[in-house]
Amino acid sequence: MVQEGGALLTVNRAADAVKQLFAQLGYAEVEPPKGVDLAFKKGNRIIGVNLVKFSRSVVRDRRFIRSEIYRLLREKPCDEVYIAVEGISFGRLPPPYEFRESGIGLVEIGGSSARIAIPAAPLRGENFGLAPERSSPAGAEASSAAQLAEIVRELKALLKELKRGELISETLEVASSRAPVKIEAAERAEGGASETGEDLGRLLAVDFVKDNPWLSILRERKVEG
Amino acid sequence: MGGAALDPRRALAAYGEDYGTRYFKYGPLVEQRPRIVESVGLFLEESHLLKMFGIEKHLVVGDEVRKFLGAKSALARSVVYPLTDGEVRRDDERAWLVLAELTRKGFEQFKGLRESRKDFDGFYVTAALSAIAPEYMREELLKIHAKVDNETGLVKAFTVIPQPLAVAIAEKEISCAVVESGHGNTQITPIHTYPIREAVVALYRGGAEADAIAAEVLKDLGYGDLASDEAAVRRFKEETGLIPLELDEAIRKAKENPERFRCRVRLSALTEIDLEDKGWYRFLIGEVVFNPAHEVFESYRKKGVLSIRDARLGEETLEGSLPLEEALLRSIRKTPTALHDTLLSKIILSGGNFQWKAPENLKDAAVSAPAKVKHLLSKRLGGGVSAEVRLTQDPQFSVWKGCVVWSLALPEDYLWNEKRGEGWFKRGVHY
Repeated sequence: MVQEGGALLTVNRAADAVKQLFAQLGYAEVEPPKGVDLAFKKGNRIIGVNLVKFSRSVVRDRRFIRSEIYRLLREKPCDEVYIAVEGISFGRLPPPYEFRESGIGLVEIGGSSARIAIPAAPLRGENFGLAPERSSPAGAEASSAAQLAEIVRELKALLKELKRGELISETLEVASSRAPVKIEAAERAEGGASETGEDLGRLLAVDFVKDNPWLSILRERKVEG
Repeated sequence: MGGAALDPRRALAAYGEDYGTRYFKYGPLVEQRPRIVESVGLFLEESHLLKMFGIEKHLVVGDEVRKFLGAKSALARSVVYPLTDGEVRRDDERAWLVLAELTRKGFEQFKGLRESRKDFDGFYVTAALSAIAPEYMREELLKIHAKVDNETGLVKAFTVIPQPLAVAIAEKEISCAVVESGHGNTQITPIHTYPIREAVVALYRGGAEADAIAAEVLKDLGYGDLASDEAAVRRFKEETGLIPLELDEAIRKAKENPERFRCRVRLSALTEIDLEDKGWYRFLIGEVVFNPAHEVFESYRKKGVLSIRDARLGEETLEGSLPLEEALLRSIRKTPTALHDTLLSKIILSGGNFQWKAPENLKDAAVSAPAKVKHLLSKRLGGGVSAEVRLTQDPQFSVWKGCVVWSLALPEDYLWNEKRGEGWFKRGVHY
């Protein structure tokens, strides 16, 4: 099951690249449990990989991947889980810290090869979280409680961000369904205008805009008298 | 970046339009490249057959025209290329209808923005026209945009800038001399924060003259039937044309060693043109924009193939076939003396008519457009004067790029001023 904005399709090339990556790391492919596309096993540890194919909408992709992170955190289908995408585009993905803090890893597929861009952290089992050395049962309990509180806090932050993203996306979905504006740059800018100029920066980095002295010359054109 | 901060909403709303003689390039900054359609319209005659197929339109424009092309004889009556030498005649109603439809269809592709975003109040549109376009063209374009805004609410503000200024902006040059050579004309515009209008030279020659010579060459080679096929002529020109460093010497070399300059062009599976020992013709195609006064073109002038209108320098009239370097120097001399050296050191060539091949194996005779202009200037000024000439990084799109930067940065309250020839025409103020 490969997901494209929620739709299913099969992409052998991407799957092959991921299989090759984990084979090189010494993992054996196993039947994937529900909720992931591929699974690999080494010792007792099972790693799941979800293949995500980008759609034409930057915002839709970002929202979809966030919801995948959230779902994987909730379902914990394997000990560790990765999301695999073809090419890393920061416009299309949630920021790297969201992957790191959630523990969901990121695999980048480039042509016929793949690499781990952000390593996953264990989601379940004894190594759940980044548990410190347990000195005593009481200490372990306190530590687990603190970690649990931290995870709840992160999840709340994620959920909040997800909701905010959905509000923006809803507007954009309407735009993209009605307008024949075909390209992703337009979608980026639509999102950007709402996101306090985040994407203005991206547009200002375009070669013919960046460091263009005419920007300041024109801004200083003043009405005479 | 100095000055006031840019408004993020403006980045979404910046839109550019380049009304070229052959192509109309348009679109918002967010796409980072313009969309392009051929600047052409076709007036359909009333036809029951078309009605049967549900086609009620009388005018189609741009790429859609190809779908309706029928017999060649009908074309002359029905096809309208609205711009000639970068201009539209004031009373040419059909040309203005085509231009209006091209403009409207451009905006139609972005109308979803208006419907979907509450904070989107229309585009800030900057259109680029030839530096010597008459004032009524600006007025007509304003009417067209006001009408589009009335129908769609997509044009919040509108302005016009000269194409060479747009090139300078795209090239990030504040002081430079821009030589823009398109299909219809070649404009030389010195710029120092503003275009120096009294120094603008308009030469009414460009790609069209190169096409005319290419068509004559085809006739001379025995392919007279292809000379009236515009696409074939253009393809032949692009494949064979060369800019000579020195025309006489290049022709001599090509005649002495014809095999080296021989060239075959396959126009289709059925048509291949072989220049055989006439490879020297290639240099005529590339030379004509630089010096149509050369004696080698005499026979073409007599035949009426090269009938070039008088050129303009500000309000003065110049010989239309004035060599390019002479026109460039006359233009620069019209600017303050303090600017001369700066302008000579930043000469920017732009437009499709400066895009010529310079094959490595022929480099002793054929050169690029910047090398040619530099050579002509050093010949004229002597070795002591250093002129720097370069081609725009993106000759086809540089005008559009300059337009969107203008749309992005020009202040909201900078309204149109006749004296300055700048500023916004705004909804609610001007229309």
